Amino acid sequence: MFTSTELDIIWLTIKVALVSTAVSLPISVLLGWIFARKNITCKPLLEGLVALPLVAPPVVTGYLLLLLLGRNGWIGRWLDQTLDIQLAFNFAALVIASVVVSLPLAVRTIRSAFELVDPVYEKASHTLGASKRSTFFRVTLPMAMPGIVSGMILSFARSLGEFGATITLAGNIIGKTQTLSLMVYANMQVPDKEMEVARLVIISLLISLAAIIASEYLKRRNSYLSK
Amino acid sequence: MKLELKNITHRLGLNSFSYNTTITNDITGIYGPSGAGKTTLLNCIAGIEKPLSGSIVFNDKTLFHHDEGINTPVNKRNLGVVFQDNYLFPHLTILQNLNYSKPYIKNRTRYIDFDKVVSLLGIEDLLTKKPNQLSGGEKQRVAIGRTLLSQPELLLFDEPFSNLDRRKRKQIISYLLKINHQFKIPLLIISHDLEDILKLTNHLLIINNGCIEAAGDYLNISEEGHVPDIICHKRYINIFEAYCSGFDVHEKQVSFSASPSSHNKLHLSQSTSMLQNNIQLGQRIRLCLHPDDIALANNRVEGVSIQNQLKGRITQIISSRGSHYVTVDCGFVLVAEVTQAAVKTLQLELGQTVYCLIKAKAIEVVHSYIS
Repeated sequence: MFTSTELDIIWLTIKVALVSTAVSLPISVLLGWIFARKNITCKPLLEGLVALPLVAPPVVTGYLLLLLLGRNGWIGRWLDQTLDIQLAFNFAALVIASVVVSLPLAVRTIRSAFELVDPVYEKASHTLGASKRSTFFRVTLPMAMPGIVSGMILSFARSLGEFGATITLAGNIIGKTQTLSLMVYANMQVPDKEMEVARLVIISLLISLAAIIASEYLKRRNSYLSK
Repeated sequence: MKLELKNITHRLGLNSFSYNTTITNDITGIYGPSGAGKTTLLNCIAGIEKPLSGSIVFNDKTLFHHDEGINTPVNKRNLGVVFQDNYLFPHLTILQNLNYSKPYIKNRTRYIDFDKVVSLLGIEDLLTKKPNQLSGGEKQRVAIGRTLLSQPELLLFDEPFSNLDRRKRKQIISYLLKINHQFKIPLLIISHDLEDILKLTNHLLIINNGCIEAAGDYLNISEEGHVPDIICHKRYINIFEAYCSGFDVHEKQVSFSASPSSHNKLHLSQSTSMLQNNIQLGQRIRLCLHPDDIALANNRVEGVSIQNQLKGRITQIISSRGSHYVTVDCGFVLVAEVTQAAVKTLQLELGQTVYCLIKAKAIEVVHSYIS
């Protein structure tokens, strides 16, 4: 049904989406909670920084990331020379581009979920003897779970379709950094590849549809739990 | 128990609050209109709000002292709070809600047994349910149970009756009295409903405009003449205790007196809801009676259906806002509300002997104490 190249690309795309969702989960939960509950001085700046990839053209985001993390970038050079770590044009670059671009969506959703948890529940937990930490893990987090799940699904779906930042930071290297979207784009440039493009488009749609169905299922399960 | 609040001040937006009082009673009611500062007082005691100055000492343990920089965190104060909207954790079952405090109570001295709480509050059948499957009254009982099981030294209630209908309120009042009696935990109850508080206790803290306007026994506050305005706006309510002094099997009546030696007896029908459960001789009950349900007569009246005719002496006549309140000592101290015309016709004056005519149906049994 699928060619082995297609299967490799589907697997790589899903792997990138899964890994980047896993990486962004703790970051977006932490940021969402800080934005919803804490009054820190640099909050507006931090909020702006996190939201930037949502409004900035993805290519610009990718370019900035390349400036920062590329071999000759401000951080990339140091990482390369001292720790022998490269963060551009490889799997790590795919993940980083996905995380940065999908983070604002996840943080927004998770922040709203935390804001929906009435702080009196947390106060009630404190009066029952629980510390702030304990309250977070036993009350706040489980009550915000439907929103966290939605945020993660959104983040996953955004990663699946990520193009601009990815192509800039990770390139379009066949067998290494070429994901579904990148392959669709590459095949569109070649004459007589319409059939391949159509197949890839259908695969993309199917994966997205599966993600939406999974999201709805998890949302229903979780909202039943929390009501 | 002894709870001392010294020069506590607090500010929320444009409202400022100041509290200075010592609470020593087992059950104290905090009464005042909405926005008077009742919840702020409770939050300061519980540690949810940090006052701007002063000190809070509970049973010789300093919970807060501004000058010494002491502010015990909420979770270390060992005080239980039952919130107005009960706030049961929606993602947990009732059993998990009740056991929520289990990991945190290892060092607490008090021990209240799980089974006892569950059976006292009648929530055995709810344990596997989720909070959204419960009625308002059930949720309130579970919230009380959850707080009790955190083994608190003091229970604070924020408007425990506000979301309940009359029947449920009566039920919760009875549970609160049982809790206080059985587990010996002092209760501090906030309500804007004076009648509900008085059914629980005579000890009041009256809060108005962010400060404590009066504190003490309800009867004393009322008798001192400087009845706070907010009480005057409400109708006075007779709340008194009596002892079961006899049964009339033929008439299906139970008699109550103020003391074993008193001749004045109140007769209530055995079918009254609270008396159905095997009341025993000498058992103490708490009764509630509205002043306008008491009629006064100069002599015993024959040929009327009213069975309760208590002989007593007038100790006080108060005129307030067009109403006349006559205090009669007939073993029980009762206040009757009469019209100006009645005062004139009966020529009511201090020291005069009168009969208080009370319909048995007008008397509400609030609680029967377990002897």
